[in-house]
Amino acid sequence: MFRGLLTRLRAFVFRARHEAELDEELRYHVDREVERRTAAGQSHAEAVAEVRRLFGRPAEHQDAVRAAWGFTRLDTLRQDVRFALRTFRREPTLVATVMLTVGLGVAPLAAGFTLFNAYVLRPAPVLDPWSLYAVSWHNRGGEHRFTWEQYRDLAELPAVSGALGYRMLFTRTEGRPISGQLVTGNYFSMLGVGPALGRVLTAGDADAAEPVAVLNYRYWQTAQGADSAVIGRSLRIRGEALTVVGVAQPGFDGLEDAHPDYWAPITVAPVLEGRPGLLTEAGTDLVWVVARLPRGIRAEVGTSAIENWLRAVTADRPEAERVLSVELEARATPNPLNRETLLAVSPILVAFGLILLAACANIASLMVARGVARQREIGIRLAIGAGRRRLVGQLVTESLLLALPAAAVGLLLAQGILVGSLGILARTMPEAFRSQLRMAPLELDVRVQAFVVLMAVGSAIVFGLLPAVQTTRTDIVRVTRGEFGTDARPSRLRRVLVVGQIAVAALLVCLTGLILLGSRRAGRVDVGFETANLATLRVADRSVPRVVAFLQGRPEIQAVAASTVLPLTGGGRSVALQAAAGAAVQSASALGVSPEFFATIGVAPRSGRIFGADEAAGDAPVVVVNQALADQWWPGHPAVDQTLLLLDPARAEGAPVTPRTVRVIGVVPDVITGWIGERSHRPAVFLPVPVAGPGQRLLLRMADPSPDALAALESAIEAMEPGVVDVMYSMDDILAVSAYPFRAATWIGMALGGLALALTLTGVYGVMAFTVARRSRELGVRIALGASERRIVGLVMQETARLAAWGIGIGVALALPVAVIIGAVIELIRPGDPTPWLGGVAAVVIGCAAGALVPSRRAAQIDPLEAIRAE
Amino acid sequence: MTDKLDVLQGTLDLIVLRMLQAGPANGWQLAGNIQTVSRGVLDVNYGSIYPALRRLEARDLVAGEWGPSDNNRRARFYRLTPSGRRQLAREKADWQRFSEALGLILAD
Repeated sequence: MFRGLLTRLRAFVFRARHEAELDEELRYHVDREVERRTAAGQSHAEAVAEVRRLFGRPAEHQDAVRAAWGFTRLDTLRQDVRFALRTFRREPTLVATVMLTVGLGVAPLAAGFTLFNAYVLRPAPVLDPWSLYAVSWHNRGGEHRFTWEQYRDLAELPAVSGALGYRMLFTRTEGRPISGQLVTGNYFSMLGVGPALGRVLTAGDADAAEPVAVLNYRYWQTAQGADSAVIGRSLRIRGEALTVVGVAQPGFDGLEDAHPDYWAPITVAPVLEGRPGLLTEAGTDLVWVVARLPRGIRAEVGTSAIENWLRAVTADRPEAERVLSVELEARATPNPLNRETLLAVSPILVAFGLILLAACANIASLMVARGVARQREIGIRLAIGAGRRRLVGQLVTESLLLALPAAAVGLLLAQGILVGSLGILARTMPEAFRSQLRMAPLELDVRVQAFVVLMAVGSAIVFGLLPAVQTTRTDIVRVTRGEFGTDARPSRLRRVLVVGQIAVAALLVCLTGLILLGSRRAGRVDVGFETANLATLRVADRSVPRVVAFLQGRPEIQAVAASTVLPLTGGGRSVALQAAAGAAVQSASALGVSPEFFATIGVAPRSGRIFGADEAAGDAPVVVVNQALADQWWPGHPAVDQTLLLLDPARAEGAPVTPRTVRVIGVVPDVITGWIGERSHRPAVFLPVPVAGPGQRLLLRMADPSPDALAALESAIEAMEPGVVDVMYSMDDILAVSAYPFRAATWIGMALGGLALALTLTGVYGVMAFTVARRSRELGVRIALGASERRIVGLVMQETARLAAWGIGIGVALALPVAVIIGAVIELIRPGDPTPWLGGVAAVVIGCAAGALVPSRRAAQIDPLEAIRAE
Repeated sequence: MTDKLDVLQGTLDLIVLRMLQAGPANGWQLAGNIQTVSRGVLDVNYGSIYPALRRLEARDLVAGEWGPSDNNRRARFYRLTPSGRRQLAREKADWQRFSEALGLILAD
């Protein structure tokens, strides 16, 4: 089959020689035939005449032979391509318009897909990435990782060909956040990752718990200035000096989203983290594991093998702690390509896709208009015997020829969008978080290019085929008579297209308005407490008591408090509550806070009191609840001294771990404890924790939490206890970064909405200009009969209004359910707000009117005499 | 010319393949051989044998090569390729089944 194709291609390429050979072959045949006949007794002249009569002209046979070769199809394509290129030369504006419009339409989608590719599709640059799986397991308490011993056993399972273990460590060094991955000795060898400089970590390093580190190539480039003398220097982590022994190969960022800045042996974790020792600890979440399955073993097989093993391991535990399920998640890419991921990205991809469709609608509409203008040419070609299939083929070829360079334009624009967005991101992120901004390299690799070409060719089929089929419906008889004007079909199709565009614009603009309003609300959201004088701090567990004591003694710090979860960052936990055993179960967010917490954030209890220090230290069965919970559980009754049954343990470290009955001792106003997009009036319980407990966030009230003041504070702490500060921000920074997604969404929405409006404007312009041109005779007659300029403009505007009404109606109808869904998830976005809807509709109406303005003026200026004479 | 039959549509390829089984031949020889073997019943048109040969060549069932002919001129000789040989066996079997079936249907 393949060789046959090659033969054919070769024949096509060396066509001249091939034809000459064919010619020679046919001549040979004729000569032999003549020879045979003369040998049989005919005269030479007679024989020649006879053979020629029998065989016909060689040229005809040559055609037949060529057809047998499949030359005709290739010939047709070549002709079509040549013809299209000739046409394009005559219409450079058309070509530019199409390329730019499709390029603009594809670009956002291409940019979005590049991100998707970087985070979901592109495999890590490691050995055989598709056989790597992150392993986790569940019991009734939730998701778990492994103990050191379990990790060692897991790696030996026959269903697993190898496993690596690691812990992440987020600390600060030299006043900046730094992330480390503490890995098992086989990490680099199992992943097949080598050094760019020096060496990578080895099993020997891990066995001997050597305090060494390998730097991430990117970190080495950005933070160390790509200094090759870095080997042998030390990296200070938590006050310990790790000797840099190498730099990992470029492009290797670990297997997850959290790109580590350095790697160190997991056996130094006890020193860095101040833990008693990995080997002896019994916790369930000490080692994160990525296993490699042997070739040919499917994930399900591996999952059940690990599940069987874990079942045996946990068999002697209480039922709640036994394994329920094991999950293997593919680690070839930072995020697995599964239903959840697709669901998460689909809204933005749909929005980008709509832009592409709107752009396609514009082009299709343009092509229909062009087809109508070319009706005479096409009619004549039909009349002299061109097949309809051939004509459609020709028009599709044209579209494809336009689509491919348009894809290139789209890729270029996408690149621009990405570079620009990253620039904006780097400039607008709250400064304290900028150094933590780590993007996967965004490359327009083969996958992105293939996607863009696919999209462009797809749009070529949408905008090429529709008009192509329409145009060839031309009635030959009428066209050759010179009548083109009466067929209404193209107009109808174009109107449908423009209504679709208007709908897309209305949809995007209204939703953007909603998000914009939500964003503005997020900017001045009342979180229930004053953030300006607050800062937050997290220090190494072993140093918490000393640091707290130190802070309490500092003059610039007015109050020190602690909580298990930092307010405004999300990540709070839920508990299930019952008024009494057997009563209805309801959930609330749960937060462990120290007695000083409310005073520190400046919130006073509405009734009752806050915990005392002894209650916090003694883990007393008392809680403080917020107003929302009090209203929900005991409306109209005092909440203080009521009792609640806490069913689920609040699983934050330091919080009570067994279900039990607690007494409400106070009620506080509603404050936002989770992410700012959530409701402030979500029921919440506050459990007492001591201020100096491990794993907690410290909250400081200070007169001036400016970057300089915080830096001074940090160096003071570090002077006392080197390397203990892991996290440090002002609360305003936390608030700003929490609101940042809204701002980003608003910008994206505004860009998309603007693009959609621009496409709508040009779309309406195209349709109305076309309509005016086609109705010029009728309009001319109207003007001749005395219609005023205003009346003519009104006629055009009226038609525009009809299109706009349909488009806006459809767009708003589609936007409503989307808005309701978003509003249900994000409290700050309220679909009931009238402003975005009115504003969105107004913007689209203005866009349509602007698009129709020029055509309507042109209509009013039609010279009646000329219009009538023209036909 | 009523005693001569046109080659049935689609069978020319089979005939050509079968003729080439005897050994390489050029177009003129093939045309003559077909007429001779069919005792003059099948008259292969000059206009159909060359397209057939090209078609077969394009499908990699026969291979053409220039060589000296018996009157010392250059002629293009065709031979069966291995896949042509397989194709011949397949088509022959199909044809035999078909003609048996046709025989049964037409039997009085």
